[in-house]
Order: sequence, then structure tokens, then C-alpha cells
Amino acid sequence: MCLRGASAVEKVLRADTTSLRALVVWAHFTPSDHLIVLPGTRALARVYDPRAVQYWDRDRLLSRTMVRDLPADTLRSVAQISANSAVAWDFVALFRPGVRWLDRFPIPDWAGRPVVDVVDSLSRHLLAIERSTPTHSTQ
Amino acid sequence: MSSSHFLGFLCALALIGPGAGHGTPAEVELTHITPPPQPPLAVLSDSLGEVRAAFNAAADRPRVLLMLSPT
Repeated sequence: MCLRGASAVEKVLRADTTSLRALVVWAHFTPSDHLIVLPGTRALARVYDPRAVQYWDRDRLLSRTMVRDLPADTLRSVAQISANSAVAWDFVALFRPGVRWLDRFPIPDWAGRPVVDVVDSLSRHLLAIERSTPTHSTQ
Repeated sequence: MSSSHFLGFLCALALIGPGAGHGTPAEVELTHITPPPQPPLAVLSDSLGEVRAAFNAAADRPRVLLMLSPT
């Protein structure tokens, strides 16, 4: 599911010619993930946009930070939530220019999950943000 | 290499190869290379400082943050 989501986001990125930055964070979340020490070349190639930077988050630091910092209504759009736990994963989040990550993780302008199901919405929100901000040259 | 070692080697190859790309345990890959011209895969060990720095360095443009499992 996640790998299909990565490919779907790559298609959205490919259609976008602005100077956005894509941050791709991989981490263990499913039982089969634990057999993997690092994401392999084939998984990493799912996002081949030159504006992307890819990370391996061995200890799910980002997920834990988001669960700690984001308000409940935002967390619902990025996390799998059960009665006694919340895990932020298989999500895509969008931030407009000017948003900075200071003491707390910033609230995204839009976010959704699972990734494979929200790429159309990502595309629409990305377009809306680009139309509302000054144009950057490609790359 | 003895015949038993060679047989073990062939079994290991069989495990790694045929299942690749299908989300099975046999998908384990030996290389971890990002597509050029992306920088190499960065391993976050005990802090998110590297991601935060990249996020803030691109604060003049839209940013897409994606968090995924590798299977």
C-alpha cells in the first residue's frame, strides 16, 4: 500500500513544475517492515523527483513528534488512531511557503492518509497553494 | 566452497531474488541508493534535526512531507 502511495505521489510531483521541496521519510510500521534494515533501491526509486530528499527514520522519531505536537483534529489526518495509541504514518502533508518548524512540529495546511487514497486531493491543494503564492522557477 | 555451502548460497539467492517487488519478506534488498540527483539516503539516528533543517531551508516554497513504510 505504502509503495503504491509513493508512486502515486511521484505522479503528482511530476505534474508540478514549481520549486517545491519533497521530504520523504521511511520507517518501520508493518510486521514485514522489520525484515528490512533500510529501504531498498527499488523502494527509494518510487520517488525519483529531483526535488525530493529521502530519510530513514529508524526509531519513528517523526511519527512520535507529530503525535506529541499536533492537535487532535490534525492528528486524525496523519495518524492511525486506536483506543490507546496513535501512529502517524502512510500520510502526505502539505505546507505553504513561510511555515517554519520551530519548537513544535508545524500544523500542515493540508494532510491526508492513506497516501494512495488522497493523491487527487493533494494535487488540488498543491495547486491552490501555488496559485496563492509568488511563482518560483523550476528546481 | 563446499557443496553444502554452495547450496546455502543458492538458497539465499532464491530468497532474495524472485519475491522482489511484491511486498514479501523476500523483497529484502542489498542496496539503498536514491535516484540521482537526490542526495544519498539520510539515516536519522537520534534526532530530527536534519529533516527540520531541510524543512526550514525550503521555507520559501511549498513543501510536501511524505511518511511511508518500505513495504
